[in-house]
Amino acid sequence: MSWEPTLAHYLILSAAIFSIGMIGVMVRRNAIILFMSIELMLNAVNLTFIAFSRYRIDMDGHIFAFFVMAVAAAEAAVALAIVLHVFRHKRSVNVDEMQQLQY
Amino acid sequence: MTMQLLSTLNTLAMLTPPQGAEFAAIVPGMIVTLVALAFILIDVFHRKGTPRDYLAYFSVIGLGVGAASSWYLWDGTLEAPTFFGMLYLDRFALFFSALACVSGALAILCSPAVLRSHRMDRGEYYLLVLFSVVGMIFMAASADLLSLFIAFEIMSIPIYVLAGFLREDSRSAEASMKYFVLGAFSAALMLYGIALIYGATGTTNLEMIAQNLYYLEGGEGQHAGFGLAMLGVLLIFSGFAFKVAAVPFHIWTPDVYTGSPTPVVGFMATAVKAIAFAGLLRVFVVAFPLDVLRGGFFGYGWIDIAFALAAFSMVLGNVVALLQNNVKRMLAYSSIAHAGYLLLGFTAANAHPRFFLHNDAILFYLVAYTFGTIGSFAVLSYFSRRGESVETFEDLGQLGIKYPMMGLVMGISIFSAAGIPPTAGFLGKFYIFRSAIDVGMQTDEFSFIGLAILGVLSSVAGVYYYLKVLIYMYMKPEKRAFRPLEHTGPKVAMVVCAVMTLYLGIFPARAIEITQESIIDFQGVSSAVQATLDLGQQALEARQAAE
Amino acid sequence: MLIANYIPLILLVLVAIAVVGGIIFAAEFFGPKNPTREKLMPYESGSDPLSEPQASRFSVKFYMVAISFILFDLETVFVIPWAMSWRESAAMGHGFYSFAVMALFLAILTIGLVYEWSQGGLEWD
Repeated sequence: MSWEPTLAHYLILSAAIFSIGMIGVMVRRNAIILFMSIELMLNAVNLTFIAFSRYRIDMDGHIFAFFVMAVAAAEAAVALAIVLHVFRHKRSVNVDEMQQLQY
Repeated sequence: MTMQLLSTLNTLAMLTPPQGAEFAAIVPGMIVTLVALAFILIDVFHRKGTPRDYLAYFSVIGLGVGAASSWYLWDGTLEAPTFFGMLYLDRFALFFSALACVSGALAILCSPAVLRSHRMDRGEYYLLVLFSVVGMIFMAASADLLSLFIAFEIMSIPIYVLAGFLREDSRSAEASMKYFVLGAFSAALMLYGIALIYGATGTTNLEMIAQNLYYLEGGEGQHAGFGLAMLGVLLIFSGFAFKVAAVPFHIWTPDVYTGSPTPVVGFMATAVKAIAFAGLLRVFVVAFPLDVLRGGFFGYGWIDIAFALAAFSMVLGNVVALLQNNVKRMLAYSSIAHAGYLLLGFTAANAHPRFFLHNDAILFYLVAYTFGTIGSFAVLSYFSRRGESVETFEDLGQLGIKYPMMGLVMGISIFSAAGIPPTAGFLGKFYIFRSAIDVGMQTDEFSFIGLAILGVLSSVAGVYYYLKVLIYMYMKPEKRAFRPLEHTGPKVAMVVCAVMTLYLGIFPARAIEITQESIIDFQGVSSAVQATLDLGQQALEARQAAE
Repeated sequence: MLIANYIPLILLVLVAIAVVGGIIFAAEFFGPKNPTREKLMPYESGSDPLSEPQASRFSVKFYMVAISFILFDLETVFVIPWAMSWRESAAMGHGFYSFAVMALFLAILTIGLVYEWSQGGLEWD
């Protein structure tokens, strides 16, 4: 049996991971899990970049993926700080309990 | 083997230093970066317990130098992108770097007293504003999706932090949480769009994307890669629509505006929106000028998306603003409506390459909107002492009579936002609607005229809630006495905003000339648009020679 | 990338499963059994992982360290490609330029480190 992973396989995998992240952001209510879902989306994008980069024999996608990693780290730092900030006030990280700003 | 060879060639090109002249492209951004880095070192040696006002003034001066450098570079623009196709140095980019610097400086001027009253007199605040401005400057100049994305994040991440800067206020925490989750989500969507565009075209450079898409379309009709590109265009548009707060992506706006510190709201309402429009123009005009992608007249391309978003934003923003009781919430919905007007101008000016010069209406509107909006937020920050800030309409009672200057500035800003002459906001709206009607007449396409009529009607409806502010400030009884936050900074900002709003409304000639020059010097466009720009250049030179 | 290329990997996985499974079963059948309460806990170090989450909160200090680590760790993502390509850059006569670019990057990071230090981000107590 001869089977070779092609571009399409990587794209389907990354689209699936991206969708899982998207659904996670929409469905889950725990702030930490929301941020994990967003990280999942960013990493799915990284996989897309690397797959295309490899397919096209071009280094631009690799470079892009590096910068996405750096941005994801910066976002994670800010995200955790914001969660801490919210937790200090509400003693909870459930986003459904954040209704102070809606009237 | 081939892979190694190709990647080596790519790397070799990157390893050579850029030309000396190219470094001019990063001068405005570099000035602001250096100010921010110097700021860190000064803040390290700050004596505890003393106010940090001098740091605010230091950053304002730094931002002023940044804005002045764009003025200095105005006549030295370059045609080709610099830094290996990463950044443009054209008047369009310089215009927006100056606008971002001015908006940041005005927001910083409003801040020191607010921060002290919330016991958060920290240097990080000014630092975050400076870094955000750096991101804005590079975003307006970006010639590559890579530099665009990095600048986009450098602009956004500090603002997520700034939204939650008031550590003792739980509403601020909630605002920053909501802004971050939705912002990061939309950034991820946009990034996926960029990845698909990269996959379809094999490059992230805007001009090369346009070229490769042209070949893809010309090659074998509906190539599979073309479908990827279409999805990518949609996703990138949604990322920008989030930043400008256009309707299906506006959900965060009212909550974030209500909870965030007032000067920050002024900054994110003006600078972020302006720069998002700069990025929108840059990406869509340079990279996606193909007729199939552009659409227009309901051919289902990005022009049609912008058309629909414009209609929904104008109507929903104005109607929901009528129902608000909180002033900042009302201003949030009004900013959604302003995004609608701007998208109307964007739709009209980019529907066909020959209307490209109409984009100057957007630029003028953004300047008018920046001064008008920061003016009203400066007044609100003057009355946002911790625990007793002016929030609802009732709180505004008699403020205009007790504080005549604040009343006057608020009046001018509100007139400008409502589009009442002789303010800048009136002329901004006038130019936008005129360009839409002009395009509609020339193409015999009623939908543009219909959209312009919708815009005029909804802005007339908007006058009601704007005037409600003035009615409460002058005619309604005082509900409780508010102690203002005495400080020179917001007063300076108010005077600048009010004077500029009136000046632009009465003597707009010079400002219009600047916006036209920035549009004419827009680099990287397709040949059809370039022909329009050349005509505009000739017309402008003829007019200048006649004077 | 034929599936045949993966046969050693699959073999390795099978061997690993066999060895681990064998050891566990051997310990189960032949080992002496003398249970005490501590030994029956999942971790024999004495910490009970099944306590209430409120009781096992850990300090925010760990968060500071983790975040600083991530941020400064990621600089290597940019330093390693630079290091790989520096030799070619030097061969082209742009070695100093290439060095200066990386020095600038590290200088900006150092300013960040100075800032973190001055704000007490590196203090444990």
